[in-house]
Amino acid sequence: MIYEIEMIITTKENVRDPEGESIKMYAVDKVDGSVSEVRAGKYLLFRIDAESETEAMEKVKMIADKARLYNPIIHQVKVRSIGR
Amino acid sequence: MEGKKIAVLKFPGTTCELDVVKALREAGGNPQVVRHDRFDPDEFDSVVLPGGFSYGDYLTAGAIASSSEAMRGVKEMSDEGKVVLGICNGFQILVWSGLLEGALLENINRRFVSKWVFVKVIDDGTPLTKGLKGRVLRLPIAHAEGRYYHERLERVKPILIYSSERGDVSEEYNPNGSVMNIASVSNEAGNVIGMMPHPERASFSNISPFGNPDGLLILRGIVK
Repeated sequence: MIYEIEMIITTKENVRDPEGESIKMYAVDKVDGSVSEVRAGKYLLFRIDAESETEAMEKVKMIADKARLYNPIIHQVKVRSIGR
Repeated sequence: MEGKKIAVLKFPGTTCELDVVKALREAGGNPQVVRHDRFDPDEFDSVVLPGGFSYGDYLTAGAIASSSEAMRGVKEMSDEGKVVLGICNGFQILVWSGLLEGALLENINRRFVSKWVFVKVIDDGTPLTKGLKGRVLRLPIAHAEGRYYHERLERVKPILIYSSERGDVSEEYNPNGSVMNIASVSNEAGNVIGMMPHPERASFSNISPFGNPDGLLILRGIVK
C-alpha cells in the first residue's frame, strides 16, 4: 500500500529564524497585524510503500535520520500522514 | 548632469546597483541609486531594478521585494509608459509583482549558473532593443532561479533568447531550461522589460573578457 507522509522541517523554537522573521516583517505584517510569528521551513512529501500507516511514518522518520535530511541540533521535524 | 533621470532601485540585499549606475552613465544617462524606502517615482524618467539577492532571496527570489511600497511606485511608472527594466533579481521581482507575466524557476540543472552566453534579439518593439532585431549579443548570466516558465505561451512576449554565436536556437544553447530559450520578456506595451543576463557587466570593453561592450547596446535604449 502506498501512503503519503508529510515531513515539515523547521528550526527549533529557541533558534532564531531570520527567514521567517523577514517574511513576517516585510510581507505578512503589511496585510495583517495579528500574526505573532512566522517560521520558515522545508516541506517534503513522501509516497512510500508500507504495510500500515504507522510503519510508513516510522520508515520516513528512519530515512530522515539516516539520510540526515535535517540537523537535530537546530531542527525540529514533524511527520504526519495524509492518507493513502 | 544631462540625460534622462534613471532611478536604480536598491532593496536590502541588492548588490549590482553601482555597476548599473556606471554602465548607465557610460550609456549617456543620469542614473542615481535610490533606496526602496525613499523612492519617489515622479522624480524619474525610468527605473532599473538591478540584480542581487533582495531580502536574502527569502521565501523565494524576488518575492518579498515584490510586495514593497516601492513596487507600487514602479507600477505607477509602468502605467505611465515609462521604461522599467529588471535585471536578474530585478526580473524576478517584476514577475512576482505581476508587472511581467510568467515565473522564474530554479535552473533545470539545480546549479547556480555563472557564464557568458549569446542571446539573440527577436523583438525590437521595446526601447531597449529598437533597431537590434536579429543581432546576437554576448552577455553574462549569474543566477540560480532563471528558468522562465509560462503555462500560456501565446501570452509571452520574448525579447532575447539564448542562442549560439551564429544565432541558432536549440536546447544545446539553453543554460537553465527556460521555455523557448527565453532570456528576456517584455509586457504587451514593451515598456516593462525583464532580463536574466547582466548588460551592465558587459558595458566596458576594457573589462569585458571578449572586448565587446554589447550590454551598452541594450542600456542605451533606456537613456534615449
